[in-house]
Amino acid sequence: MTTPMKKDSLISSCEEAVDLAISLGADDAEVYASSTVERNVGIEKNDLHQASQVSETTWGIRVVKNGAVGFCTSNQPTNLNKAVAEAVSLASIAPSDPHNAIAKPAVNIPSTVAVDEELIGLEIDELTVMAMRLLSDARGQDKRLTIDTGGVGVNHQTTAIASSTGTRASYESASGSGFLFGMCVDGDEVGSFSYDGDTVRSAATLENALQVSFKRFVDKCAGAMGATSGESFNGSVLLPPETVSEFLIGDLLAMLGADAIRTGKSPLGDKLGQLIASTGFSLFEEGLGLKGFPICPFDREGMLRKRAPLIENGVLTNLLFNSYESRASGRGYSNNASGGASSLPGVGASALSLATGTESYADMANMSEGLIVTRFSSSSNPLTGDFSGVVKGGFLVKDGERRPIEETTIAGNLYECLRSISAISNTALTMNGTVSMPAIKIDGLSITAG
Amino acid sequence: MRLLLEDIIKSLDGFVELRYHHKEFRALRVTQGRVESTAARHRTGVGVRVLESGTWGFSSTSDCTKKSILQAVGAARTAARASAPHRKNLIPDLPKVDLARGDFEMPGVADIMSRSIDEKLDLIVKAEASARAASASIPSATAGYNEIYAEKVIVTTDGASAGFKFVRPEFRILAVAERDGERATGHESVGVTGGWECLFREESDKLIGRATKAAVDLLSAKIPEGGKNTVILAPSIVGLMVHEAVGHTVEADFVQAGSVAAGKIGKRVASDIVTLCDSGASELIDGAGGTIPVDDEGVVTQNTVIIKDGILNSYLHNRESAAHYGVAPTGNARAWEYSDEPLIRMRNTYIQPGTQSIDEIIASTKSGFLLDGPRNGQADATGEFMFGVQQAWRIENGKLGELVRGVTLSGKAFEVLQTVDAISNEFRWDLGSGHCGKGQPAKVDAGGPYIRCEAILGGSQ
Repeated sequence: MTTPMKKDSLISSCEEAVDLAISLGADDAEVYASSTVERNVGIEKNDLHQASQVSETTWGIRVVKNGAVGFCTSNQPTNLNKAVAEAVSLASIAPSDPHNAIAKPAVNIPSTVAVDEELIGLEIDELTVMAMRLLSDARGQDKRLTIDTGGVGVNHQTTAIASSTGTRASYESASGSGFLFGMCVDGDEVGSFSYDGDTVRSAATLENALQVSFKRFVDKCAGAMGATSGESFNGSVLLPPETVSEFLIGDLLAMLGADAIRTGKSPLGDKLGQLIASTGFSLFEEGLGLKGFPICPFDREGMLRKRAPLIENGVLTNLLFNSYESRASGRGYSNNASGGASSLPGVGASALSLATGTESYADMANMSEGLIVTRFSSSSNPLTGDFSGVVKGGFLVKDGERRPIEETTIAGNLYECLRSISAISNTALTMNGTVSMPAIKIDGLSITAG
Repeated sequence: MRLLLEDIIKSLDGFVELRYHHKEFRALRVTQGRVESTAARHRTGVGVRVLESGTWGFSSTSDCTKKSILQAVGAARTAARASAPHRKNLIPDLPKVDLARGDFEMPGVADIMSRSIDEKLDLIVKAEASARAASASIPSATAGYNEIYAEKVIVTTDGASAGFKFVRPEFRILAVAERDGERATGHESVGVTGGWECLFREESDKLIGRATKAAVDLLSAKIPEGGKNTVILAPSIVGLMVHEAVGHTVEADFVQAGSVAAGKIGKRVASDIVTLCDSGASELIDGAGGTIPVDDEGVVTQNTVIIKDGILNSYLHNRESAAHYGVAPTGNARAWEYSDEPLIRMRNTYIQPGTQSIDEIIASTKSGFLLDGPRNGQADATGEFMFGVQQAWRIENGKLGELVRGVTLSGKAFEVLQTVDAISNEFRWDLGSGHCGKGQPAKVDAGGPYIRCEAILGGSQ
């Protein structure tokens, strides 16, 4: 069985590259590496498409020289010296910034493992049988369903980081995942496409988790059939858990990044401590991972991740910082350096949860008039919060009845939406192990039928 | 590398495809006077695809030695054999087709690679400063320069043996304007397959000027009323629409899965003045961002006429789908990097220009909007699309009027194309700085003339 590089070997290779960078003139250096083996069974056009096994190790070298940063990645262990040299060369031509530095870890991070041996032992033939069974099960739920693409796979990865400032950490993980992408077709009627899937850490839970997510997928595809024009009104929009992220959380999260605030692309910089959302709205950075889905304990700069409220009872309580943004702003670390070996450390959350509320989903869906949006495609300006988009999958609820709709647009403002949340469901859905969302209802949105 | 792969392929039977891909990516970015990114990325390896026991197997290796490549062939074969018994419809052997042989020249490689990184960094440092200096209302700006340099070799057991190098530089500028609590952004970008002069055939100062003017002007722009309208789409919006809402629906793998284009060959899908093409070459104007001489199956690319005079004429094919439909492959099989399998992807997609000038089209429009500058977009299997638009100008009685903001454009592509009643004689590639996503990225381009049609505008709250 092919395996990724052992953690000790990977970390040694990082340390060698750090030493080389220092010898080439860098003041400080950090090398982050990941080694991956993936087995995947692809589905296409309602049939097995391709089986694959790929493996690769990538090193990302970041150096600081005279206050300037250079970065280069390579997947060639025999040519790492060339990548190190280019990183040093890039730092040599960049201007100095007093806040550029390699992070210094305050605590040693223990080497941990999140690997289910049974999961990483799943071979192509077993994955194929599972994929075809899941495909057959999904298509059996609705004969109109057609699958464009899909897949079931296993990923086994080791990650390591070493730096001249004392960082030395590694992690080993494995995950199993799958997805389906497709739509319903009935004669000349082609429904709006949909997508769903899940990621888990154990072989024992993989097939069941995918079955559940594929059932959601089938329901969304089938629900889009027979769609007719909606109605224009100002009213409530109910977002099921899987829609909350694309409708609300994605743009909000980008605006919580200290990088967006520093560069004038976020209006939230002076809102810390202020009420920016309905009082029932509490959003957490789950740096320790959600239940049943452990995540790497250190961030992209080797800093220990932690759990922190971002918005608590509607009040903006924390922003997201990597070490540069922390130094530049003079505020404390939140250890939210994001990214992998192929990119410079960015700013981002590792896992998220939105606190549940008190109402049942059924009660929330019982509207006199409103929309349930299962897929939304929008254009937004996060700076102003203005957005406008098309309901790609959704239902008009009126006088106790619900019907699928098409060519219906919703216009609004992200920040007004946050203040107009009237209900949050008492249950949440965890997606791909790292995002947990309840359903939410937003009042006062402008809905226009095409 | 071509000699090594040819040597390896001689010892193999059945269908095997070896694809060497060396890629260097560099990204420089400046925001508010700070150099945010001086980054490079080197990625090299060989992707191996086999057609074994009636199904595909794939593997890859970053170790470009004969031993490792042969091991990858073995892994791909093992994967195919293990999964083949569960496939319902086995793939027959691929029909013989003419495949590329030799080395193919691409423009601009020596030019871009010989220019120093200092020159490229200096360009964006000055561009960012220039954007902030353009107006007291612009407190923040970002300038970026990216380049991809790649070497590819494709060798197959049934005769392909081709190699080429290419370079794709990009430049972008973003200006953020602020006044009295209102904020707005303006964005311009350009990306080409070619050299420095091709990238800057329109000078960077003009791009900066347009981005900063858009940001400042949008501060005082109003949001228009929504609803169905006559719209004139600039080449950037035309390109986005034909790529997202038409091009994807005619990718043959998506057609086989049931897209809205299924069964429509020979049927009217647009007004008779519309001819839509997807070409591996940079037609009409050089430098298109999706230009490739040979696809990743070793097929020489062609100019595929998707819609001819309003009638759906062809899908976009790889070798497998072409065999399924009994047509010649169109050279649309593309892989992003060595560890990716080739998928059916667009290259440079465009509507053929017409005969009128844009001024004549505006003058003959009683009421409507001129839309320019895509923000983002998405389309569906149905051809239903939604795009954000940076700037829109009201047209009343044949004259351009006020600038409005916050506009989205939506409709069903084949229905919108049926309403096209005017096409300009201007032509522009305008999507070369973006990426297409379909499980893996691809550099593509799209564009065309200005077109007038009917579509739904979203805007008012």
